[in-house]
Amino acid sequence: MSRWLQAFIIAILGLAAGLFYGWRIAPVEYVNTTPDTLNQEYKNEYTLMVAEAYQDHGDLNLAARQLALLGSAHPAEIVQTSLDTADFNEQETEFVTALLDEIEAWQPSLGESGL
Amino acid sequence: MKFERIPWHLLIGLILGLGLGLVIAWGIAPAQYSDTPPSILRSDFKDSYRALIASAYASTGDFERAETRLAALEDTNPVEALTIQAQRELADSNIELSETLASLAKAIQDKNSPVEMELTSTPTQTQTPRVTSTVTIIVQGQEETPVPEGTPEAPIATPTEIPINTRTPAPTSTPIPTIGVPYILMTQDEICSENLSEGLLMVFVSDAAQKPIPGVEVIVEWGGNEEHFFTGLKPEIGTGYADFTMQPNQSYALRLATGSTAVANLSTPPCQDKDGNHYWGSLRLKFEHP
Repeated sequence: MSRWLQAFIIAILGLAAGLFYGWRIAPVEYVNTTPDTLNQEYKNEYTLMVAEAYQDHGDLNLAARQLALLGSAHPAEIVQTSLDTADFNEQETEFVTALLDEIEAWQPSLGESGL
Repeated sequence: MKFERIPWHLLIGLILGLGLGLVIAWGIAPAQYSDTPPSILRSDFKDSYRALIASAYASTGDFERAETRLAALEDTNPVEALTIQAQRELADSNIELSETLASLAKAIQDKNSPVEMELTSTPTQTQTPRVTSTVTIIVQGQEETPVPEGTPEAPIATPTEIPINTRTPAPTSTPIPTIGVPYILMTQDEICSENLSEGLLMVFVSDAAQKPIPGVEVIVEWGGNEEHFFTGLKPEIGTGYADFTMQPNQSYALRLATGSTAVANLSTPPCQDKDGNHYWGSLRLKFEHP
């Protein structure tokens, strides 16, 4: 086997080792993340908090702005996803469903940034 | 080992491959996070998350849930984080949100500083106890310290049955009730120091064990104006510390929102440096929770 081939094979092995180390053993540590990267469990909890707070303030625009932090989808979709994936109890489901009923017809008003 | 026996071509290949792999893994295509916890959110998003926790708590009153949610943010000191955010919201004129945040901070603080509230009663008394708006409290050897009606956060808030026709016995080993007891002004000092900002009104709040208390709302009033601020916003000075800048020749009154000795006629003391030049000094008030 030529020396070049040996060097090439070793380099490929080194590349694999480097990728394994950089992706698995010591991956880049993220800080300053955005809410859309949250684990779905936390997204569900966030949605529930929006629904609970909405029961108090009744401001649909505020609720929509808060939900917009979880992604660019329509707030109703975000709430629906939470309803589908979370294990809410009866009262929590009631809160979230009430929010969903209201927010399904919500449209951002002119001049609203969505955040 | 002979120098010429080192397989340089393999060594260089390995180093190049390893280096390229790390560049790709850390720089070009780093591992993507998609299931992150709230603790690594950017600070402004953490603020939004925290505000939502407080709003949900205000709506449901579910304290344990609020605590669990706050724990996910992994703040070193949740009370301090809430208090600082409340102060920022207050500065931005978001009064309602500020109060919501402060309310949760206070609830946590109250829970973390459990105090016993046991009032003395005479075992032989036979009269039917009646609820009264005045509570008898034994404080450090004093026989009776009536707490007037209207005192903020005074024991009035805790409906307690008190036999009003029975005098409290002289000092006993009964635990001292401390819930709602007003803060007491322990010291008031005028400070002439060129190292301090002129006209600084410094407030230090601590408990009986001299442990600083963050999140205490301080109210300063002057000429029909009023300003609220909280202790703990300058942790580098002290978690029980808050300050306010006074204008010269203006008289101020100060009190703690949860009830304290009211301090009136506060003004910047005149001072002179070593060359005889005039400057305004500072005031230092120390409050203690008995």
